[in-house]
Amino acid sequence: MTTFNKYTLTSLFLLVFLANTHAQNSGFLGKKNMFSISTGGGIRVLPIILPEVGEVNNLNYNKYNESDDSFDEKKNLFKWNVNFSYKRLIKRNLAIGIMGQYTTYQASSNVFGSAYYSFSDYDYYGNYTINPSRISSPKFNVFSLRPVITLSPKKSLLPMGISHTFGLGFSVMQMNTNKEYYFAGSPILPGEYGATGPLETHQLIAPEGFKNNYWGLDFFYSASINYPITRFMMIEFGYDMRVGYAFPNRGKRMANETLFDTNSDMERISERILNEDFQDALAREGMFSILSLRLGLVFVF
Amino acid sequence: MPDDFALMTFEKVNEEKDIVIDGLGKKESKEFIKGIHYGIDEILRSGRVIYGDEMTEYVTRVGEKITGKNSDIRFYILRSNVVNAFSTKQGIIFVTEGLLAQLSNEAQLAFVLAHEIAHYQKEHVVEGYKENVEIARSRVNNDSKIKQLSQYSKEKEFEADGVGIELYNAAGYSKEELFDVFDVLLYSYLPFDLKSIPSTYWNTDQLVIPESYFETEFPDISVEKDYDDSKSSHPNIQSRSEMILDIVENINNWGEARFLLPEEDFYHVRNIARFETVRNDLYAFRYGDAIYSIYLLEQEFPNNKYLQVCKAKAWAGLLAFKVEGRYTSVTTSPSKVQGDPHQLHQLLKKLDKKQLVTVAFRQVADVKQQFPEDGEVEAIYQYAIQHLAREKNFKISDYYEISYQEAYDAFQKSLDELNKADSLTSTDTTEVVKEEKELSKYEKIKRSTGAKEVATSKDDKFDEDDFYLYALSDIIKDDHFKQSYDSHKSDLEAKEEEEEKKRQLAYSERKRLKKQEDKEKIQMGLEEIILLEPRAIQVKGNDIDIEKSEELEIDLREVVERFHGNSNVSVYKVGSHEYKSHGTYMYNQKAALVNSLSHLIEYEEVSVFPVDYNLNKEIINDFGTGKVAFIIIQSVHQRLSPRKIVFYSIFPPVWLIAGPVTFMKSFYTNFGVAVFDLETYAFNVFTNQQISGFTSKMEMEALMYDFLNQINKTSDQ
Repeated sequence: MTTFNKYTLTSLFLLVFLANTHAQNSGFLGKKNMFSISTGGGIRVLPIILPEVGEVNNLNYNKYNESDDSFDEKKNLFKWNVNFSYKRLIKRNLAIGIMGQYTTYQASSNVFGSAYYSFSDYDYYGNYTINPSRISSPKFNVFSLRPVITLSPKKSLLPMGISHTFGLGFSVMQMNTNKEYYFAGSPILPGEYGATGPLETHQLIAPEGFKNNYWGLDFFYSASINYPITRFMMIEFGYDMRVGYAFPNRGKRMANETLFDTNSDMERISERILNEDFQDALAREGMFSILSLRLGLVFVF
Repeated sequence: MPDDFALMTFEKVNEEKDIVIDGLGKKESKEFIKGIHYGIDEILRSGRVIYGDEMTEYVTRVGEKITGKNSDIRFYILRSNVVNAFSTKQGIIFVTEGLLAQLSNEAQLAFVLAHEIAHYQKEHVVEGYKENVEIARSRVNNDSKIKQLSQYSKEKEFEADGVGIELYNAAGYSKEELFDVFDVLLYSYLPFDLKSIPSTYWNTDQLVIPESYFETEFPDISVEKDYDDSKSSHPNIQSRSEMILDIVENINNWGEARFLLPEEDFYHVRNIARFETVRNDLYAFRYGDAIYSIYLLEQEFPNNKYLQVCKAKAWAGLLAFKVEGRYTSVTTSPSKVQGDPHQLHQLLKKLDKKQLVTVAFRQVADVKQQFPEDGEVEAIYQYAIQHLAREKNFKISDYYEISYQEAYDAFQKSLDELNKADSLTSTDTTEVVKEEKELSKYEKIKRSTGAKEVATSKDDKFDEDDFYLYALSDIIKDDHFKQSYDSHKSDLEAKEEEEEKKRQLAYSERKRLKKQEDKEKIQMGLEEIILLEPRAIQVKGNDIDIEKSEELEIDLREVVERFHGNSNVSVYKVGSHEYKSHGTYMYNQKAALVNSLSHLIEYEEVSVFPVDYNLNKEIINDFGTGKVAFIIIQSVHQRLSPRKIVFYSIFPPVWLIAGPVTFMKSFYTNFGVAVFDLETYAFNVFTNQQISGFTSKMEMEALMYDFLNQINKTSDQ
């Protein structure tokens, strides 16, 4: 976490504390603090409706099959998330607090596969382009933290019943480096490299090189219902709308280290591919699964 | 306390849960048992049923003449002026006060009871249910269904008459009274007696209502005996009388008794019922009917304080409704009133606003003068003055300080003087004119404003329509009246001034002020409150689901039972749960509160005076507070409209967003609370919380907790 995040957190707690000084005597049986933990999931609506836009396929991802050293193309239909929040009631129909969310982005199969590049260094034989190559699609962990404001209709009484939560915060996206990723492909079209034939590489990517964070903004809205089951616990269900946006990060290398053990050509190619295509994929992904249904528990105290 | 009142509906249903009624399946039997208990318990819980009193005891004794002492039938009195009696599957026979008030002797009551006992013995309620099920399933049009139902119902009425006559005969009553019972039913729309109110009834030293205000001709009493009963539940009177005649002629051993119990007991009970009809009329805002019944009772009970107080309440009610512009809602069109009462209703219609307000206040003031020290009468008097102060056309300065009679005499005298002067010489005439000119300034002012009674020309006639201007001649000189009037007037003016100031404010400021006022209404700083038994209703689509409502109500009562308020507010529960510990005392408290609530809510916009003023005072003394909260929970499940289904089918993606919203919004709980004050006899606040989602006990408890917190706070907190 950066200094910026710490500052944000401090501000949020201060905000909650100040709000508390004006608190009115309301709440659920006099209790005004709410801690909730919930899980949610949604369909990746846009990729399902429009799987391919141009040469980009956002629906599928590649899974490396270790047993026969091959890639399977799988469909990425759902996305899930885990949320937690702490809120404090400041009026009968108003609460403020902070909310955290964890979700994952599965990069699509085309991140490497369908992009074509030209390299002037190889202009002697014409433009070299990357033959459609494949990589086991990397996963990204996405952590969001946002201040939230929760409102309920005038006649309702927080935390029970229907409520609307709005939030605007930051998210940080990190490649899941606990997994191994494989690359298979050639920077040169078959037959164009003379007698040597197409150059095939088939290598393990060193994920340690992906430790840099991508940053983004996210806007959050949630409509939910809290249904009391005991004096201190409620069931929460509803749906969320989250629109994520990844900040442009062009020119900055994602991988600072050499990802491939051999072949300086691959090295240069891959650096550009990874930086730009990852960013594109992340930026798109935030828009692909806007809606998710949520179910969780709220503890009131 | 009888079990009929003490047990909860679900307890009664549980007791009979294994009963399967002949001719009905298990499920239908269950539905039937649940239905009858729910329906009858609604009446038992209405606050309008009484037991253990002299009327109930007398009716039970007459009933026992028919059934014998060991019958399982229970008799209760229903506080209603409708002339009726009805029996239930449970073995309860309800007799209305209206019926008791109208009967002429014990034998007539005995036949009505015998008829109802016959319904019970022949299990007509169950039979009727079976027929209803059968008819509902049949494939005929609605008109035919109604006729068929009516036919079945009439058959049962004939059967009840037949069996009833046998029971009646066996008890030893006279056959002549049988036919008179039908007259009671036929003319039940009329008061319990018919007497013309002489115009002199209204005349006092101060008030004289001119003869021209009383109609001498009015609609005769006419009613058809042989009306079309093809869609009625009961046969017409003609058919019943003819049928009874056949049965009566076939029985030889008729008794002679009109009374088997002491005759004075009947008249005593009937008088109680007749006094009660006045109270019922006041509760139902039938002020004209109440005044007429009071007149009838006054003939037998002159100067009876209860009647006089009721009279003051009735007139004060008319005054208030006239001032508030809702007079027609509490008066009956004279064209609908037959016989002697027509004259009174005609008078009430004929009096214009100023006249009515004055006459009504005069009546209240007369009662005040009769009982000057009585607290209730003083409260009615203040209530009437408060409304006088609200009436813009009422100005004390308009009223003369002399009585009608004095004015009339003065007028006649001045007319005589004019005639006399006319016969004198011209010099003498000049003398009269000169005399006029020599009047002092103050005499002239008095004459021009308050001395209309003086004839200025020999052709003048005494203006009878101004009769009301003399009616308060003594009151306007009374300091107590003047002080009270001025005080109410200045309160009103201060309020109006405040309202005017508010109107001058900017919109945002008005909005803020309104918000503050709303807050103040509920944040009353209360430390104790009476919680009237709450009600729960389950609504599915547009219908009330009786079964679910009952379940919800049981849940709600459980919540109330374990709910003891919080550390700041003491809650005094008044409801059926408390019957088990406090018995009839609590039943009466609840009945009084329910009556007050329904009385207040009828015309929420008009301030009304409590009918049971002293009873309310007792409740305030008993509990130490007059603030009463009534909670009603409505659990709603809205069905998805076909229009939405079609829309979502055409645009499936819309469903993704609209679906969850629709689902979440289709279930909600309305938690409504009305707080009223027995001391001011007005509502303090109505609140309604609407919580989305299913209704649960925990939710109800939380809402009650919140409500108590709100009323405990003061607005500056």
